[in-house]
Amino acid sequence: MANSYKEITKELQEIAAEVFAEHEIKHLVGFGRGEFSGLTEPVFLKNPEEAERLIFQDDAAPMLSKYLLKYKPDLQAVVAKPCDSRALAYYISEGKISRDNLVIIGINGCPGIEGNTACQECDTRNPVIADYTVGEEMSQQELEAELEGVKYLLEDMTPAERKEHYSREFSRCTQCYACRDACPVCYCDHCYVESNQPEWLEEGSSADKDMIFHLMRTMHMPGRCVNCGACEMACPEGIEMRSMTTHLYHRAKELYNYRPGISPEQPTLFSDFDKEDSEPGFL
Amino acid sequence: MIKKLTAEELKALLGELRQKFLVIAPFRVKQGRLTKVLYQPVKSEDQLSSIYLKEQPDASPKEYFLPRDDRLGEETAGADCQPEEWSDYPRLFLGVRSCDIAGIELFDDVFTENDFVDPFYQQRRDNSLIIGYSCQEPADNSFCQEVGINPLENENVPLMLYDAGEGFYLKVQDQDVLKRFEMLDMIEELPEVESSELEEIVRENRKNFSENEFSLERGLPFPEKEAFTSVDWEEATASCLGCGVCTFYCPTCFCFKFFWEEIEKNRAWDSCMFSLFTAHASGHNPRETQDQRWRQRLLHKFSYHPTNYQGSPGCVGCGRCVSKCPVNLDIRRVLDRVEKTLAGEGVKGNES
Repeated sequence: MANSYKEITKELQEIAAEVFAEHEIKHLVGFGRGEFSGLTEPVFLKNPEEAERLIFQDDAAPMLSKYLLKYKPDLQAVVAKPCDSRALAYYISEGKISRDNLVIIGINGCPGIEGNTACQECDTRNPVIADYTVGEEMSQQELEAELEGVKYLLEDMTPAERKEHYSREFSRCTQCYACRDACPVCYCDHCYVESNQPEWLEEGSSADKDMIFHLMRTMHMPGRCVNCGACEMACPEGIEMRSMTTHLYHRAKELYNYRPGISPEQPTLFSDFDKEDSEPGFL
Repeated sequence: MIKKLTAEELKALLGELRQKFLVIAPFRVKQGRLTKVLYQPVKSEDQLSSIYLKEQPDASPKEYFLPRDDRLGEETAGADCQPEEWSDYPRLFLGVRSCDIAGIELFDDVFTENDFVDPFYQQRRDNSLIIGYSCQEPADNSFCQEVGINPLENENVPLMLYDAGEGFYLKVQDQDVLKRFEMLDMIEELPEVESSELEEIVRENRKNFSENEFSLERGLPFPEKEAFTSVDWEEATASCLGCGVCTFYCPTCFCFKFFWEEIEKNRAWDSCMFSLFTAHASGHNPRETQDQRWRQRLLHKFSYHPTNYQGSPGCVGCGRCVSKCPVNLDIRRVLDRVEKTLAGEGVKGNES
């Protein structure tokens, strides 16, 4: 069963104190309550006295894994939702960060994030890697029962219908790049949209250019997107951002039984091909 | 002059004004998983009933004055090129709150300043009549009063609308503007009431604006050098992801970039939160890290702008940057950190 936010919060605070006692960490990245806003925000705890600031709530949407890349190679502790743990496993499998530099506090039986449609089709409710865990594990049986009959976003649409849906949704884009910046696997030091020599994405924000941005971002996603929904949660225009990436996620799963970040040892999708692999194209 | 009108009378007035103006008003709009309040042009009489004034709109009317994509004419047309493509049809903005009015005033300061008049901005501004709206309660995460803005009353618009539960009050503050737009007669026809009625409503509503937990102690501008060097910006803004949401939703952020589409010159929104904003052609970037970009955004609003514009803040305290931020990074927390650091360093505060 999914654990309660309250129970997870309580256990997190206890374990945080332990983590500080047992490891020489730079900081513990977790969620806390905004001093003036009361909203859940990422916090960087420096000492055990701050442990009681840790919380976990249904609006803890940001992916904390992203911050670890900013402060590597220092030893850092992190509170990891199961999707976050997959992003971390993916980083390790790509050699982006060393496992030795991470202390992972995983959340078992994650109760999900309010408004995040990715949580409804989530196939990872326990962390894939962790040094400490909070909450009861959710059994595979229970997970399968919850996913029974669940369709992913736009699953039943034809490519033509999907294209129409994309054009409508992405026309609201303002190119603020919140989706890219919230995405745990959008970690390039130099994103193509910031390149002006050559200029991959022309200046300006017409519907066509907005679409080019999203298509190019999506092209970088197969075999990497962990289907966490952070892009969609970050979008201030309410664009159904996952409608493209979740399709790639599920196609890779169906065709190659591949799910990104399921273990740190797993080869990446494109480095593990076989000449017998089916090649039906992604759309 | 204070007029009282029922919801039906207000609708009738707007219907009449639609003959003269393109009326732009806040509506509730569904966008994916979000329901937002956005300024949109009223396209038909029926839409007047759906105008939604109860909540702070998700975005200020900024894009109507500084469009996201602004075509500035063809290069070959020479320096005298006029913004001829647009219509000069007058526009009426209904229900603009004090914070957003202050945002437009800030644009006036910047874009119609002495010898540096932006004709594109000015034409849009001159064509616009604003009917202000008195807030009944504070918007989420707002702190307008801390930057000297009165959410209940605003003298700087020709008309101010007050929701009285049962009907509305309309306060006429500048008859000359109404004359210029040939609408004074229309307003004068409405029944007039004593100002005490309205004062009572404002007094009642003021009670909803209790002391804010957050307060700005220091007068503006912040001392530039001390704030620049003594604050631990990295620590205060560590969770920033580097997107442009805060600046795009900010009613005062106006930074733009130029680009050409063939021979047509364009200007589009830009953001100091993007790394490309300051990237030099050489490859050098004077603001290499995100905390330096945050420092720029905050000090532009609380140090550089007030320094250049008689102490007037570059932030109107609407709270949108906090509510919209994907990681809920709160500018109040960062301001608090700056103030505490400056206090600790013993920098003398300016008189506010």
